[in-house]
Order: sequence, then structure tokens, then C-alpha cells
Amino acid sequence: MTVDYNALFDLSQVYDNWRLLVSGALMTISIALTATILAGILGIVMSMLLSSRRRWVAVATRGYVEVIRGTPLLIQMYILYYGLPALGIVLSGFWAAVIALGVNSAAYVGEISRGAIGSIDRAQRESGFAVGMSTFTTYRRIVLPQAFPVALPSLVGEVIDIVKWSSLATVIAVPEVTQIVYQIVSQSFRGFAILFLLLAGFYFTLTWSLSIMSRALESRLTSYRAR
Amino acid sequence: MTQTPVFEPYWFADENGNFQGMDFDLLVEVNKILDIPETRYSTVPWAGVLPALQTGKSDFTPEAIAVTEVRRETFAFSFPEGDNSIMIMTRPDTDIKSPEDLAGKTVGIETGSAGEAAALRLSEENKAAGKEPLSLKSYQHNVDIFLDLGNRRIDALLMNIAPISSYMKKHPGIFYNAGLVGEPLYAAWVFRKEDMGGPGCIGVEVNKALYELRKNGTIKKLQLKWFEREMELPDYDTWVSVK
Repeated sequence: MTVDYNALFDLSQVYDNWRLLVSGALMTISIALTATILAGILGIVMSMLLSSRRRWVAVATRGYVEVIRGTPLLIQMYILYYGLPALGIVLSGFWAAVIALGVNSAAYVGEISRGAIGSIDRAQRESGFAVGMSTFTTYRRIVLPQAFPVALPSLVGEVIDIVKWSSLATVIAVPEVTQIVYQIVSQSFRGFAILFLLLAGFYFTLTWSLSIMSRALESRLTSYRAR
Repeated sequence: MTQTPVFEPYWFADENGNFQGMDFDLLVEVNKILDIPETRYSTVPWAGVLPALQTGKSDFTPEAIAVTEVRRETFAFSFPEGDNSIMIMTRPDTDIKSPEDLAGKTVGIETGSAGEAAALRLSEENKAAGKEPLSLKSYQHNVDIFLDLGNRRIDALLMNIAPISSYMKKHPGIFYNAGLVGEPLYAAWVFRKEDMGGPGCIGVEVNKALYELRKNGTIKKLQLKWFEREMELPDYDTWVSVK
């Protein structure tokens, strides 16, 4: 068969719809940003709960982490959006997406942070206490500054995942950029090759800048090692 | 064949996952005439059906698709087998009684559907007339739109008559139909334009079979079986398959 390249790469579809595309991109960014903040807060709480001395707290948190990690995000979004109304809770598409992404990511952030803090030698903490620092100060001035650069690449990996997985919100009727592209393409199917390439390029630009920033930040944070 | 089996009663899957519907029965008849022993199917969301056809992943789409002018720019259509106009479905508690009442309302549509096209057109017309446009919400599956109408996230939905009628029949008394939108649309199978090129092309052969099936009354019989009414069809001799 012959493929009509002019139709597949019809650029007018991009020009005619640029406002829609920008609104979709902004929606994607706001979902990702809000979900990242949620994942950060929940993740820190999670890492503290995971290393709790009360056994049942640690066990319950572990159970939560396993369930979240062991079920597909797509299904979680679907349950939040289409399932919860059966219990009388009607979330908007935006919040269903943010909560699903944030809660999902928090399970990983909790594990990453717990691992990073655990990787810092016990003696570091003890020397903090030995010079008379409180637990809070010891964590703030000694443990976390060393643990953060360890965790950073994995944490940024989580943010990158949030950005990419936000495209799943298409199934719960959120007008983020992937859905906008579907919408533009699906009426006439003109320009779908160019639009999907642009879409991939958009996600890549976003995630690539995140990893560049992450590497720059990491080398700054660990520059003390070279000194 | 690439398809989405959620378009009752034209094309859908029963509880056991077997394809059913007027299109399925019609396809069986067409295959008999054209001597095609077997058809293979793959299932994708509706927004993926026509790209699969366009990129050669499927031979044609055996689902009744509303024939719209925008789609005619890219695709060829077989002889229509029925009608497929766009209807408004809402809940009795909204004040929506006609297309005019949709101004400013949240309306659910399936991505890539003729309902979406009708909603976009209505929205533009409203804007031009100084009225409020429609606030549109796009879904990947039409089943989800019914759910959200029930969940009160949307005030109304725009979809083809066929799935709305089936859904309302299965859930009587909950929903309300607020009439048709836009001009009447026909339902037909979709082909790549090149496959309607001339004798021997699959689209042309299928059209020949459909012509025969209309003449011997099979299409009418299937309309009555699946829709319990006879649907008006255009004159096949003057029908333009490729624009």
C-alpha cells in the first residue's frame, strides 16, 4: 500500500491548534507539579513510617507500599475516578490523576529515602549526638545533607516517571497534552505522525531538562567530596 | 480488521467476548459473497481504529461509522447500511430539552467520534452567535461517558443514536433523550481511498456485495433484527464512495 505522507505530516494541524496544544501542555505540567509535591510530602512521611520502631506501623506501611507498587497505575486512576463515585466521592479528573500519581510515586519515594538514610554510616549520627546536637539538628546538618545526593538521581527518576505517566490521565477525561493530541488527530486523522512526534518531543524535552538539572545539582551537592 | 466492540447494536462483544451486531451479521454475508474464508480482528480504543487503517494495519473497518465531510477528506466509505445521527442524552434533572440548551453546559464526547464533531460545530456556532460555547470533556470509551453522566460529572453527552438507544433500553427511566443534533448521518464501513480505486479493489468488491445484499432484502432484514425499525438509505447508484 502507499502511505500518504502529506496527510501524516500535515503541519497545518499544528498551526491551527497551537492554543489547544499549549493548554494541554500546561495541564500536563500542573498535574506533574502538583503530583510531585504530593509525592514528596507523602514520601517523607512514608520513609519515617517504614523505619518506625513500632512494628505494626512499619508492617502496615510496608503493606501499603506493596499494594501500590504491585498494581498498575492505570487501574488505580480508573478506580479513583470511576469507582469512588459508588461510595459518593466524586473527584474531578485533575485530582483523581494527581492523587493516583502522587500516592503511587510516594510509595517509591518512601523506599528511596529510607534506603538513602540507611546508607549513611551510623557513626555519623552518633558523632552528632556526641557533640551535643539534638536528633532534629543531627538529621538536618549531618544525615540529610549526605543522604540527599545519594537519593537525588532516583528521586528525579520518580519525577520523570510522574511526567510520563501523567499521559494516562487521558483515560479519565483530563484535557492534558496527550488527550489534546488525540482530539486533534482523531477527527480527520490528518497530521497524526507529526503531532505524535511533537508530543514525544515535548515529554522528552521536559524529562531531559529534569535529568540535566538533577546532574548539575548532584555535582554541586557533592562538591565537598572533591575538596 | 481493527475495531472497538462497544458500539451496540452495530458492533459489540457479548458476555463471552464474541462479536455481535448488525455489522457482524452483514460481514458474514459479505464474506459469503466474496468467498472470504476467515476474518482476523484486533481490538483497539476507538481513537486508534482509523489510524490503523490509514497506516495499513487493517484492511477495512467493519464497524458502522458515521459518514462525515471531515472523514471523507481522508477516507472512502462503502454503501451505507443504516443511519447514525447524533443524539443528545441527558438526565431528567437537567433543563436540557434541545441543542440550544447545551450552551455553557459540560458535555461528554468520545475522542474521534462524530458526536465530538457535532459538539465542536455546535460550540463554534454558539460562539459566532454570541452565546456560550459548550464545555467539552473527552473520553476514550463511550461506556465511560455513560458512567460519568450517571455520576453527574457531565450534564449531557453527544453520541450516535445506536449506542444511546441500547443503553437507555438497558437502563430505563434514568436518562432522557433531548433530540438530534446537526444533519442526519449515514453509517458505513471505512476504506483507504486507494482501495476504492477500481475493479478488484477490496472496497469496490465489498460495495458490489452490499449492493446485492440490499437488493435481496438482507440489509433490511438485519435492520429490523437489530434496530426493530427500517432505516432510510441513500440511493446506492448515486452514492459517492470516494471524494
